[in-house]
Amino acid sequence: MTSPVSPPPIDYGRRYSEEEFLALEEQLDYRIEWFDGRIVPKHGYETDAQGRILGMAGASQRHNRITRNALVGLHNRLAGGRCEALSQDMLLAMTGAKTYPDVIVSCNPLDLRAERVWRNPTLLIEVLSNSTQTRDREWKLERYRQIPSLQQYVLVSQYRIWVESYDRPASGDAWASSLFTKLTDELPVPALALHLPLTEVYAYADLAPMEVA
Amino acid sequence: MTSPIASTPIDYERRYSEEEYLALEEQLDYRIEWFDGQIVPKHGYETDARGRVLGMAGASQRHNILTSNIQFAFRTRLKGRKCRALAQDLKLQTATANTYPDVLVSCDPADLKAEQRWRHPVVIVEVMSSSTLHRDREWKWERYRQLPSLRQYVLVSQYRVWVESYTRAEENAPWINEVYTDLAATLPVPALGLQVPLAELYDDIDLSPLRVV
Repeated sequence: MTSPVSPPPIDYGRRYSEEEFLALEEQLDYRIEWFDGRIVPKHGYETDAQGRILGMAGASQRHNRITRNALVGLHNRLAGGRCEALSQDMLLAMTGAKTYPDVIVSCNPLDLRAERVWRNPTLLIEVLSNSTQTRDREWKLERYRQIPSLQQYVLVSQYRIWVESYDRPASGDAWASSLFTKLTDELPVPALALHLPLTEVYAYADLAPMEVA
Repeated sequence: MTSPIASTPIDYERRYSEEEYLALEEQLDYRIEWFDGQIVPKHGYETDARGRVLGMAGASQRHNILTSNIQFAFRTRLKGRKCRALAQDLKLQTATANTYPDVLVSCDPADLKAEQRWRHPVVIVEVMSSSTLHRDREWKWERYRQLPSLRQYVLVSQYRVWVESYTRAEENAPWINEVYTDLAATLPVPALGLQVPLAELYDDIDLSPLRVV
Protein backbone atom coordinates (compact mmCIF):
# COMPACT_ATOMS: atom_id res chain seq x y z
CA MET A 1 0.00 0.00 0.00
CA THR A 2 1.44 3.35 -0.91
CA SER A 3 0.92 6.41 1.19
CA PRO A 4 -1.85 8.64 -0.23
CA VAL A 5 0.38 11.69 -0.66
CA SER A 6 3.82 10.66 -1.78
CA PRO A 7 6.57 13.28 -1.58
CA PRO A 8 8.12 14.32 -4.90
CA PRO A 9 11.14 12.20 -5.79
CA ILE A 10 14.47 14.02 -5.72
CA ASP A 11 16.93 13.56 -8.54
CA TYR A 12 20.23 13.79 -6.66
CA GLY A 13 22.07 13.81 -9.97
CA ARG A 14 20.54 17.00 -11.31
CA ARG A 15 21.00 20.67 -10.42
CA TYR A 16 18.17 22.62 -8.86
CA SER A 17 17.81 26.39 -8.86
CA GLU A 18 17.42 28.14 -5.53
CA GLU A 19 13.72 28.67 -6.22
CA GLU A 20 13.21 25.03 -7.16
CA PHE A 21 14.93 24.00 -3.94
CA LEU A 22 12.69 26.21 -1.82
CA ALA A 23 9.55 25.00 -3.57
CA LEU A 24 10.61 21.35 -3.30
CA GLU A 25 11.45 21.73 0.36
CA GLU A 26 7.96 22.89 1.23
CA GLN A 27 6.55 19.60 0.00
CA LEU A 28 8.89 17.35 1.94
CA ASP A 29 8.61 16.01 5.43
CA TYR A 30 12.38 15.88 5.90
CA ARG A 31 15.16 18.44 5.59
CA ILE A 32 17.31 18.84 2.54
CA GLU A 33 20.27 21.15 1.95
CA TRP A 34 21.38 22.90 -1.22
CA PHE A 35 24.96 23.42 -2.43
CA ASP A 36 25.44 25.27 -5.71
CA GLY A 37 22.47 23.49 -7.26
CA ARG A 38 23.02 20.07 -5.69
CA ILE A 39 20.54 18.74 -3.18
CA VAL A 40 21.51 16.51 -0.27
CA PRO A 41 19.44 15.20 2.65
CA LYS A 42 20.44 17.01 5.84
CA HIS A 43 21.66 13.92 7.65
CA GLY A 44 23.36 12.37 4.63
CA TYR A 45 22.59 9.29 2.59
CA GLU A 46 23.07 5.69 3.38
CA THR A 47 24.94 4.06 0.54
CA ASP A 48 25.96 0.52 -0.30
CA ALA A 49 29.58 -0.57 -0.78
CA GLN A 50 29.51 0.71 -4.37
CA GLY A 51 28.38 4.13 -3.22
CA ARG A 52 24.84 3.74 -4.58
CA ILE A 53 22.27 5.67 -2.59
CA LEU A 54 20.02 3.37 -0.57
CA GLY A 55 18.16 5.96 1.43
CA MET A 56 18.53 8.80 3.85
CA ALA A 57 20.45 8.61 7.08
CA GLY A 58 18.63 9.73 10.19
CA ALA A 59 20.14 11.56 13.13
CA SER A 60 21.10 9.37 16.06
CA GLN A 61 19.71 9.80 19.54
CA ARG A 62 23.12 11.03 20.64
CA HIS A 63 23.18 13.59 17.84
CA ASN A 64 19.81 14.82 19.04
CA ARG A 65 20.87 14.99 22.67
CA ILE A 66 24.08 16.88 22.00
CA THR A 67 22.27 19.31 19.72
CA ARG A 68 19.61 19.85 22.38
CA ASN A 69 22.24 20.30 25.10
CA ALA A 70 24.11 22.93 23.10
CA LEU A 71 20.89 24.73 22.26
CA VAL A 72 19.63 24.76 25.84
CA GLY A 73 23.04 25.82 27.17
CA LEU A 74 23.12 28.75 24.77
CA HIS A 75 19.46 29.62 25.17
CA ASN A 76 19.72 29.81 28.96
CA ARG A 77 22.71 32.12 28.75
CA LEU A 78 21.24 34.32 26.02
CA ALA A 79 17.74 34.69 27.46
CA GLY A 80 16.68 38.30 27.82
CA GLY A 81 19.42 39.53 25.51
CA ARG A 82 19.35 40.59 21.90
CA CYS A 83 20.60 37.28 20.51
CA GLU A 84 18.73 34.08 19.90
CA ALA A 85 19.72 30.41 19.52
CA LEU A 86 17.68 28.08 17.31
CA SER A 87 18.15 24.51 16.27
CA GLN A 88 17.90 22.21 13.28
CA ASP A 89 14.84 23.70 11.61
CA MET A 90 16.10 27.18 10.83
CA LEU A 91 17.23 27.58 7.25
CA LEU A 92 20.52 29.43 6.81
CA ALA A 93 21.16 31.13 3.46
CA MET A 94 24.57 32.14 2.16
CA THR A 95 26.22 32.60 -1.19
CA GLY A 96 26.17 29.24 -2.95
CA ALA A 97 24.35 27.25 -0.26
CA LYS A 98 21.35 26.79 1.99
CA THR A 99 21.73 24.59 5.03
CA TYR A 100 20.13 23.61 8.32
CA PRO A 101 22.88 24.03 10.92
CA ASP A 102 22.41 21.96 14.06
CA VAL A 103 22.58 25.09 16.20
CA ILE A 104 22.55 28.64 14.96
CA VAL A 105 22.84 31.89 16.94
CA SER A 106 22.05 35.28 15.49
CA CYS A 107 22.06 38.75 17.00
CA ASN A 108 20.90 40.41 13.82
CA PRO A 109 17.52 42.24 14.05
CA LEU A 110 16.62 41.29 10.46
CA ASP A 111 17.23 37.61 11.19
CA LEU A 112 15.24 37.70 14.40
CA ARG A 113 12.24 39.13 12.52
CA ALA A 114 12.63 36.87 9.46
CA GLU A 115 9.89 34.44 8.52
CA ARG A 116 11.94 31.50 7.40
CA VAL A 117 15.57 32.24 6.57
CA TRP A 118 18.51 33.56 8.59
CA ARG A 119 21.48 35.16 6.85
CA ASN A 120 23.61 36.77 9.56
CA PRO A 121 24.59 34.19 12.18
CA THR A 122 27.19 34.94 14.84
CA LEU A 123 27.79 31.32 15.86
CA LEU A 124 27.16 28.02 14.06
CA ILE A 125 27.49 24.56 15.60
CA GLU A 126 27.46 21.25 13.73
CA VAL A 127 27.36 17.92 15.54
CA LEU A 128 29.51 15.56 13.49
CA SER A 129 28.17 12.26 12.14
CA ASN A 130 30.08 9.74 10.07
CA SER A 131 27.66 10.29 7.20
CA THR A 132 28.11 14.06 7.06
CA GLN A 133 31.53 14.79 8.51
CA THR A 134 33.10 15.72 5.18
CA ARG A 135 30.17 17.99 4.46
CA ASP A 136 30.59 19.74 7.83
CA ARG A 137 34.37 19.91 7.76
CA GLU A 138 34.79 20.88 4.12
CA TRP A 139 31.70 21.91 2.16
CA LYS A 140 30.10 23.87 4.98
CA LEU A 141 33.27 25.19 6.59
CA GLU A 142 34.34 26.68 3.29
CA ARG A 143 31.02 28.49 2.80
CA TYR A 144 30.26 29.41 6.41
CA ARG A 145 33.54 31.27 6.66
CA GLN A 146 32.47 33.55 3.83
CA ILE A 147 29.50 34.77 5.89
CA PRO A 148 30.60 38.23 7.05
CA SER A 149 28.72 38.12 10.36
CA LEU A 150 30.06 34.72 11.46
CA GLN A 151 32.48 34.86 14.38
CA GLN A 152 32.77 31.20 15.35
CA TYR A 153 32.18 27.76 13.83
CA VAL A 154 32.13 24.82 16.22
CA LEU A 155 32.31 21.11 15.38
CA VAL A 156 31.20 18.66 18.08
CA SER A 157 31.84 14.92 17.82
CA GLN A 158 29.03 12.63 18.89
CA TYR A 159 31.41 9.69 19.29
CA ARG A 160 33.91 11.11 21.77
CA ILE A 161 34.67 14.27 23.71
CA TRP A 162 35.90 16.41 20.89
CA VAL A 163 34.95 20.05 20.38
CA GLU A 164 36.81 21.90 17.68
CA SER A 165 36.33 25.63 17.43
CA TYR A 166 37.24 27.98 14.60
CA ASP A 167 37.29 31.65 15.56
CA ARG A 168 37.44 34.65 13.30
CA PRO A 169 40.30 36.85 14.44
CA ALA A 170 39.89 40.54 15.23
CA SER A 171 42.04 41.38 12.22
CA GLY A 172 43.12 39.50 9.13
CA ASP A 173 41.26 36.60 7.60
CA ALA A 174 42.97 33.55 9.05
CA TRP A 175 40.78 31.63 11.49
CA ALA A 176 42.22 30.37 14.77
CA SER A 177 41.64 26.74 15.71
CA SER A 178 41.25 25.44 19.25
CA LEU A 179 40.45 21.99 20.48
CA PHE A 180 38.70 20.83 23.66
CA THR A 181 38.81 17.13 24.59
CA LYS A 182 38.28 17.09 28.36
CA LEU A 183 34.93 17.10 30.12
CA THR A 184 36.32 19.75 32.46
CA ASP A 185 36.93 22.10 29.51
CA GLU A 186 34.68 25.01 28.68
CA LEU A 187 34.09 26.28 25.18
CA PRO A 188 34.63 30.03 25.10
CA VAL A 189 32.24 31.99 22.89
CA PRO A 190 33.79 35.46 23.01
CA ALA A 191 31.36 37.04 20.55
CA LEU A 192 28.48 36.23 22.91
CA ALA A 193 30.53 36.78 26.08
CA LEU A 194 29.80 33.32 27.44
CA HIS A 195 31.34 29.93 28.12
CA LEU A 196 29.69 26.60 27.45
CA PRO A 197 30.96 23.80 29.75
CA LEU A 198 31.58 20.50 27.96
CA THR A 199 29.79 18.67 30.78
CA GLU A 200 26.64 20.43 29.59
CA VAL A 201 27.27 19.72 25.93
CA TYR A 202 27.81 16.02 26.60
CA ALA A 203 25.16 15.55 29.31
CA TYR A 204 23.34 12.19 28.87
CA ALA A 205 25.44 11.48 25.78
CA ASP A 206 26.62 8.16 27.21
CA LEU A 207 29.89 7.95 25.32
CA ALA A 208 31.51 4.52 25.11
CA PRO A 209 35.31 4.33 25.08
CA MET A 210 36.29 5.02 21.51
CA GLU A 211 38.52 2.89 19.33
CA VAL A 212 40.83 4.62 16.92
CA ALA A 213 39.47 4.24 13.39
CA MET B 1 46.01 -22.90 -0.60
CA THR B 2 47.48 -20.89 2.23
CA SER B 3 50.58 -18.80 1.82
CA PRO B 4 53.72 -20.58 3.10
CA ILE B 5 54.62 -17.74 5.45
CA ALA B 6 51.55 -16.70 7.33
CA SER B 7 51.79 -13.14 8.50
CA THR B 8 51.64 -12.56 12.24
CA PRO B 9 48.02 -12.18 13.24
CA ILE B 10 47.20 -8.93 14.97
CA ASP B 11 44.56 -8.78 17.62
CA TYR B 12 43.08 -5.37 16.94
CA GLU B 13 41.06 -5.57 20.12
CA ARG B 14 43.93 -5.93 22.51
CA ARG B 15 46.34 -3.32 23.84
CA TYR B 16 49.99 -3.61 22.92
CA SER B 17 52.86 -1.96 24.80
CA GLU B 18 55.12 0.26 22.73
CA GLU B 19 57.83 -2.44 22.86
CA GLU B 20 55.41 -5.14 21.72
CA TYR B 21 54.30 -2.88 18.90
CA LEU B 22 57.87 -2.25 17.74
CA ALA B 23 58.70 -5.96 17.89
CA LEU B 24 55.54 -6.92 16.02
CA GLU B 25 56.20 -4.33 13.35
CA GLU B 26 59.56 -5.85 12.48
CA GLN B 27 57.85 -9.09 11.48
CA LEU B 28 55.28 -7.50 9.21
CA ASP B 29 55.46 -6.60 5.55
CA TYR B 30 53.03 -3.70 5.95
CA ARG B 31 52.89 -0.61 8.15
CA ILE B 32 50.93 -0.41 11.35
CA GLU B 33 50.41 2.56 13.66
CA TRP B 34 50.08 2.62 17.42
CA PHE B 35 47.78 4.84 19.52
CA ASP B 36 47.91 4.43 23.30
CA GLY B 37 48.22 0.67 22.96
CA GLN B 38 45.87 0.18 20.07
CA ILE B 39 47.17 -1.00 16.72
CA VAL B 40 45.75 0.03 13.35
CA PRO B 41 46.98 -0.63 9.80
CA LYS B 42 48.41 2.58 8.31
CA HIS B 43 45.88 2.86 5.51
CA GLY B 44 42.90 1.81 7.59
CA TYR B 45 40.74 -1.27 7.52
CA GLU B 46 38.11 -2.31 5.11
CA THR B 47 34.94 -3.13 6.98
CA ASP B 48 31.57 -4.51 6.05
CA ALA B 49 28.32 -2.64 6.64
CA ARG B 50 28.27 -3.74 10.30
CA GLY B 51 31.77 -2.43 10.88
CA ARG B 52 33.46 -5.84 11.03
CA VAL B 53 37.07 -5.78 9.87
CA LEU B 54 37.46 -7.53 6.52
CA GLY B 55 41.04 -6.62 5.79
CA MET B 56 43.40 -3.75 5.30
CA ALA B 57 42.79 -0.89 2.95
CA GLY B 58 45.58 -0.09 0.53
CA ALA B 59 46.60 3.36 -0.60
CA SER B 60 45.13 4.45 -3.92
CA GLN B 61 47.22 5.46 -6.92
CA ARG B 62 46.07 9.04 -6.35
CA HIS B 63 47.21 8.90 -2.75
CA ASN B 64 50.61 7.71 -3.94
CA ILE B 65 51.01 10.36 -6.63
CA LEU B 66 50.02 13.13 -4.22
CA THR B 67 52.40 11.90 -1.55
CA SER B 68 55.34 11.77 -3.93
CA ASN B 69 54.47 15.18 -5.41
CA ILE B 70 54.44 16.68 -1.93
CA GLN B 71 57.68 15.06 -0.90
CA PHE B 72 59.33 16.14 -4.14
CA ALA B 73 58.11 19.74 -3.75
CA PHE B 74 59.69 19.93 -0.30
CA ARG B 75 62.87 18.10 -1.24
CA THR B 76 63.63 20.34 -4.18
CA ARG B 77 63.12 23.45 -2.12
CA LEU B 78 65.10 22.20 0.87
CA LYS B 79 68.20 21.25 -1.13
CA GLY B 80 71.36 22.47 0.57
CA ARG B 81 69.59 23.14 3.85
CA LYS B 82 69.91 21.13 7.03
CA CYS B 83 66.34 19.87 6.77
CA ARG B 84 64.95 16.70 5.26
CA ALA B 85 61.55 15.75 3.83
CA LEU B 86 60.68 12.05 3.98
CA ALA B 87 57.57 10.13 3.04
CA GLN B 88 55.51 7.19 4.23
CA ASP B 89 58.18 4.91 5.61
CA LEU B 90 59.59 7.02 8.38
CA LYS B 91 58.06 6.54 11.76
CA LEU B 92 57.11 9.47 13.97
CA GLN B 93 57.03 9.07 17.72
CA THR B 94 54.84 11.29 19.89
CA ALA B 95 54.10 10.99 23.61
CA THR B 96 51.22 8.55 23.07
CA ALA B 97 51.50 7.35 19.47
CA ASN B 98 53.72 5.98 16.72
CA THR B 99 52.57 6.88 13.22
CA TYR B 100 53.76 6.99 9.63
CA PRO B 101 52.86 10.44 8.34
CA ASP B 102 52.55 10.65 4.56
CA VAL B 103 55.19 13.39 4.44
CA LEU B 104 57.20 14.84 7.28
CA VAL B 105 59.92 17.46 7.41
CA SER B 106 62.46 17.82 10.18
CA CYS B 107 65.36 20.22 10.68
CA ASP B 108 66.31 18.76 14.05
CA PRO B 109 69.89 17.41 14.23
CA ALA B 110 68.89 14.46 16.44
CA ASP B 111 66.14 13.47 13.98
CA LEU B 112 68.44 13.74 10.98
CA LYS B 113 70.90 11.35 12.66
CA ALA B 114 68.23 8.98 14.01
CA GLU B 115 68.17 5.37 12.89
CA GLN B 116 64.43 4.77 12.84
CA ARG B 117 62.17 7.33 14.42
CA TRP B 118 61.75 11.08 14.28
CA ARG B 119 60.47 13.07 17.23
CA HIS B 120 60.83 16.72 16.26
CA PRO B 121 59.17 17.39 12.90
CA VAL B 122 58.48 20.96 11.86
CA VAL B 123 55.92 20.10 9.16
CA ILE B 124 53.61 17.08 8.79
CA VAL B 125 51.41 16.41 5.76
CA GLU B 126 48.65 13.80 5.57
CA VAL B 127 46.88 12.90 2.33
CA MET B 128 43.33 12.11 3.35
CA SER B 129 41.50 8.93 2.38
CA SER B 130 37.92 8.03 3.24
CA SER B 131 39.20 5.13 5.32
CA THR B 132 41.49 7.25 7.50
CA LEU B 133 39.71 10.60 7.53
CA HIS B 134 38.86 10.41 11.21
CA ARG B 135 42.32 9.31 12.16
CA ASP B 136 44.00 12.19 10.33
CA ARG B 137 41.59 14.87 11.47
CA GLU B 138 41.14 13.75 15.05
CA TRP B 139 43.39 11.03 16.43
CA LYS B 140 46.57 12.23 14.79
CA TRP B 141 45.90 15.94 14.90
CA GLU B 142 45.14 15.80 18.60
CA ARG B 143 48.62 14.35 19.17
CA TYR B 144 50.56 16.17 16.50
CA ARG B 145 49.46 19.57 17.73
CA GLN B 146 51.15 18.86 21.05
CA LEU B 147 54.56 18.26 19.49
CA PRO B 148 56.65 21.25 20.64
CA SER B 149 58.60 21.36 17.36
CA LEU B 150 55.57 21.31 15.05
CA ARG B 151 54.74 24.53 13.17
CA GLN B 152 52.46 23.27 10.41
CA TYR B 153 50.02 20.43 9.78
CA VAL B 154 48.68 20.09 6.27
CA LEU B 155 45.71 17.96 5.20
CA VAL B 156 45.45 17.27 1.48
CA SER B 157 42.31 15.78 -0.07
CA GLN B 158 42.76 13.23 -2.80
CA TYR B 159 39.19 13.71 -4.00
CA ARG B 160 39.18 17.43 -4.74
CA VAL B 161 41.45 20.45 -4.64
CA TRP B 162 41.40 20.95 -0.89
CA VAL B 163 44.50 21.81 1.10
CA GLU B 164 43.88 22.65 4.72
CA SER B 165 46.73 24.07 6.71
CA TYR B 166 47.23 24.67 10.41
CA THR B 167 50.19 26.87 11.27
CA ARG B 168 51.56 28.45 14.40
CA ALA B 169 54.36 30.96 14.81
CA GLU B 170 55.85 29.42 17.95
CA GLU B 171 55.32 26.63 20.42
CA ASN B 172 52.55 28.11 22.51
CA ALA B 173 50.96 30.30 19.86
CA PRO B 174 47.41 29.55 18.70
CA TRP B 175 46.96 27.38 15.61
CA ILE B 176 45.74 29.27 12.57
CA ASN B 177 43.64 27.41 10.04
CA GLU B 178 43.54 28.21 6.34
CA VAL B 179 41.98 26.42 3.40
CA TYR B 180 43.15 26.52 -0.22
CA THR B 181 40.83 25.24 -2.93
CA ASP B 182 42.12 26.97 -6.03
CA LEU B 183 44.71 25.22 -8.22
CA ALA B 184 46.24 28.65 -8.85
CA ALA B 185 46.82 29.16 -5.10
CA THR B 186 50.08 28.71 -3.26
CA LEU B 187 50.54 27.00 0.09
CA PRO B 188 52.80 29.10 2.32
CA VAL B 189 55.18 27.23 4.63
CA PRO B 190 56.33 30.09 6.84
CA ALA B 191 58.45 28.01 9.22
CA LEU B 192 60.68 26.97 6.32
CA GLY B 193 60.29 30.17 4.31
CA LEU B 194 58.75 28.28 1.37
CA GLN B 195 55.83 28.64 -1.01
CA VAL B 196 54.43 25.55 -2.70
CA PRO B 197 52.00 26.00 -5.61
CA LEU B 198 48.95 23.74 -5.42
CA ALA B 199 49.39 22.98 -9.11
CA GLU B 200 52.62 21.21 -8.19
CA LEU B 201 50.97 19.18 -5.44
CA TYR B 202 48.11 18.10 -7.69
CA ASP B 203 50.30 17.53 -10.77
CA ASP B 204 49.18 14.42 -12.70
CA ILE B 205 46.08 14.01 -10.54
CA ASP B 206 42.90 13.47 -12.46
CA LEU B 207 40.18 15.09 -10.39
CA SER B 208 36.70 14.49 -11.63
CA PRO B 209 34.09 16.99 -10.48
CA LEU B 210 33.08 16.05 -6.98
CA ARG B 211 29.61 15.77 -5.55
CA VAL B 212 28.81 17.13 -2.17
CA VAL B 213 28.51 14.29 0.35
